Amino acid sequence: MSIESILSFHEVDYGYAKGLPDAVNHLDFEIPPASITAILGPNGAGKTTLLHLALGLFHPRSGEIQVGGKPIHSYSRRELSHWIGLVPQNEYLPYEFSVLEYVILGRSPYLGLLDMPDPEDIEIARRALKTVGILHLADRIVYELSGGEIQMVVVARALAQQPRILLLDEPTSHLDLSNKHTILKMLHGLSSNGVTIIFSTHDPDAASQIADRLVLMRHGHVLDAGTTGDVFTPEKLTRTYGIPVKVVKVNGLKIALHEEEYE
Amino acid sequence: MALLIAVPLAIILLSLFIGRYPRPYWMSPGLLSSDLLARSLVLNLRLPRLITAFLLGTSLAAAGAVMQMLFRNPLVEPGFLGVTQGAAFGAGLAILLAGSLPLATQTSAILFAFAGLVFSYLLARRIHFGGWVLRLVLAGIAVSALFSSAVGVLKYLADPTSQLPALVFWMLGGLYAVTWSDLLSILPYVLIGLTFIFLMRWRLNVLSLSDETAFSLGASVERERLLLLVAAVAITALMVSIAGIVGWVGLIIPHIARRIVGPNAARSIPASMLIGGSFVVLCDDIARSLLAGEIPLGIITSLLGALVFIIMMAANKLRVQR
Repeated sequence: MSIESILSFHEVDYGYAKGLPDAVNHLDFEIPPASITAILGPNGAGKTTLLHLALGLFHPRSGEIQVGGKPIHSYSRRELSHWIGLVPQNEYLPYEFSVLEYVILGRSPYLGLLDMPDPEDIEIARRALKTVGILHLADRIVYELSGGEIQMVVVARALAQQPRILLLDEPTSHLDLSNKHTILKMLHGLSSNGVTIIFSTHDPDAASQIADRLVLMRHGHVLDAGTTGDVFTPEKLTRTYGIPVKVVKVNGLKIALHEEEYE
Repeated sequence: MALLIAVPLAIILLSLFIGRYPRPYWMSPGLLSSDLLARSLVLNLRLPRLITAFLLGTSLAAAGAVMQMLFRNPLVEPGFLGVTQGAAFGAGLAILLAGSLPLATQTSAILFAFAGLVFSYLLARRIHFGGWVLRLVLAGIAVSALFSSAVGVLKYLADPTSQLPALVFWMLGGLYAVTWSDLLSILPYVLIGLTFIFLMRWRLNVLSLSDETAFSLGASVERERLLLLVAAVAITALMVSIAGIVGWVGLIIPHIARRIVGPNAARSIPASMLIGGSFVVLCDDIARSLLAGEIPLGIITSLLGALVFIIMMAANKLRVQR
């Protein structure tokens, strides 16, 4: 394994239950630090499973996952939570927490089991809100916000955790064009500040806009992994989605379209 | 917060002098130095009963608040993992088999309360669909139904003149028979459980998030949930074993606490404890003073609890997401 990769999968297999076919097979790729990687593939390709494996939530049936050059299972729960933060696809908040209260929960990895957050934790949470540009929402109730705003709040919570790797599960799938742009721009800024970003998406355009690297997935397999320039091709996308795909360039940006034209 | 501590203290102090001796409703504090019977009554009957009432409310409300966070559902209460119905069955069985021996009733109630929890937990592990929360809820409902029908069988078999009244009175709850020795026998364990919940209150916030988020924040989700759950069930079972079934406290008090201090468990757990304790002390004041005979405590808490709940709903004060 190269020292350059912050996260790597080596021949990882995982199945949810005995007797069922494996959810993912032979996952094998490396992710360099401070890069943006998109896990791209159709619904049900195993993208969320891959993220949960990278989080340490699932244990591979065989193969090995390394974080920072060490096997993921050699970290304690607490150590691992200093490395990796998660923005899940649907965050569920049962009660009317304020935005700031929710973001402070991101400080939990640094608190003992019986500790309470101190003023410094609150300051870090406020800085995270400022980073994603929603400090003005600090005192609002989370679930009264719009979908796009909630997504930013969840990202701020994960940033308050100060992780080196940020995993995001379909961060743009429920968002309109403007919110999608805001999120992608913010992820780009975070990676410039040294955070390694890994996000899953079924939207090729979201991937091609900001990702340095792509991991193409279909039916639980990695079809291809590499730089966006090498992997974002009509042939590879066609294999990934199982429909004829063409790639067109608009203002220097590559866009994937269905081959068929509408009259 | 200062008010949340001052008001319960005042309620406890005043309640020492509420009762039916020497005449209904109020005893002059001066009587404590001049009337030996009054002093003995306050120290040996009212004081242990008051402390038990406060602990009962504190425990039920804390357990309710913990469960509403852990299950991310504002409508669950401490009894719902088969615990209350298990305790009722245990107490009923003891009343039928051993007569109205208090120690037998208490022990059997605690044993079956935990049997209810263990049974629910094992059943939840056997279910192969849905998330952990859904599985526990389903298992709890099934186990509660089983025990509650078994209680029905016990009622049917009970001798209607001797055993049935004891059984029914236990199910309605009451603190009329509480002594210092009853209280002291459970006090250490209840205090340990309450302290554990109080200290874990920040963690409770994390555990109310989705499983994968709580995990990503460093929580050992299943283990920590189980520990908190056992603490909540243990204090409930211990209090139910000497007080019988006292309904609605565990459901309604956490709602009131969240209305006052917000949902953050750092504040809502201590607030639930203090408000719950005060509420049950007040209900018990009514239960023992209003009429010449004892009114079952569970009737007062359910009546007041349901009224408060209805008022909150009508005033649109009860906010539940979706």
